[in-house]
Amino acid sequence: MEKAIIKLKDNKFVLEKNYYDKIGRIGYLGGDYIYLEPEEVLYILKKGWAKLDNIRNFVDFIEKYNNIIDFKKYYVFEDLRDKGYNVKIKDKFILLNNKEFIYTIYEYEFIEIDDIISIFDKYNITSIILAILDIERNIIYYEIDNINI
Amino acid sequence: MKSILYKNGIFLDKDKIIYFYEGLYLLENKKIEVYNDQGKKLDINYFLKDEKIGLYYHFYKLFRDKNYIVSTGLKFGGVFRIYENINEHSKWIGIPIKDKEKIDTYDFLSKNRVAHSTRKNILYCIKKDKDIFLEVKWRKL
Repeated sequence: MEKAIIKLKDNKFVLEKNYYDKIGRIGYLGGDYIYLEPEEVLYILKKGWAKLDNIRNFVDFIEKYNNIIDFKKYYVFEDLRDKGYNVKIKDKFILLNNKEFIYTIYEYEFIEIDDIISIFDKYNITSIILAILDIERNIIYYEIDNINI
Repeated sequence: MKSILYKNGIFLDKDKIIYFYEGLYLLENKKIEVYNDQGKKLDINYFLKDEKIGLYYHFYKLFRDKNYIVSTGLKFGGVFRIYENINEHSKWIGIPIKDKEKIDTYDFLSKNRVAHSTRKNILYCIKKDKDIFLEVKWRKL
């Protein structure tokens, strides 16, 4: 099979859909393409599963696109993918098994209760996973459930 | 009705200390009368003027009214420990917080670490128009 080349189309990273299995079923299928978030592209480049036009490797990709890569999301995505979980990127979250929202913060940030409550309201869910990322890239996961008493 | 002395921040029934929030609960429910060491009678509003006490008591009362057993959670790093059944481990370490409050990540982790190691979960109790309860569990992923 010829080399998978990720392209920029209308400011979105896309890859022809026949490469879906080759890139580990990452991204969203739409029409003839797989649509990829920057963090997903970074993961794919790092794994060597595809190339990007005019980019030699993932380091070049980071240099060129660091303004649009959310590294908090990336590290969680990488951690869970490497452990074999089904993860996707949805808005500012990682979606685990297509149903659980993972919200990531760095160790030095605060947990904003209002943010968590607004996520429950916006997505009509009663549970999220909070991922706390430390400077050594260790990630601790907690489940937060909105319960009735 | 039993008379209780309130002195140095504690309710005293002779030489026995009554848990502070239980004292407020008994006072509000007219099971006890409370006097200071000057003999002045104190009502519930005297205590609830303090915003933090008001917040904590709001949730203490809520749990007691729902037949939970509530005691201090101090040694577990929280405000309350909350039992569904006194013969079992307490289910939650309750931490009342105000609406819009931010939680320090290090504090969150240390509390949850203690709770997990003692087979409990942290329960953040948030006072809003409709109270919100967020139960936190460590998740192995």
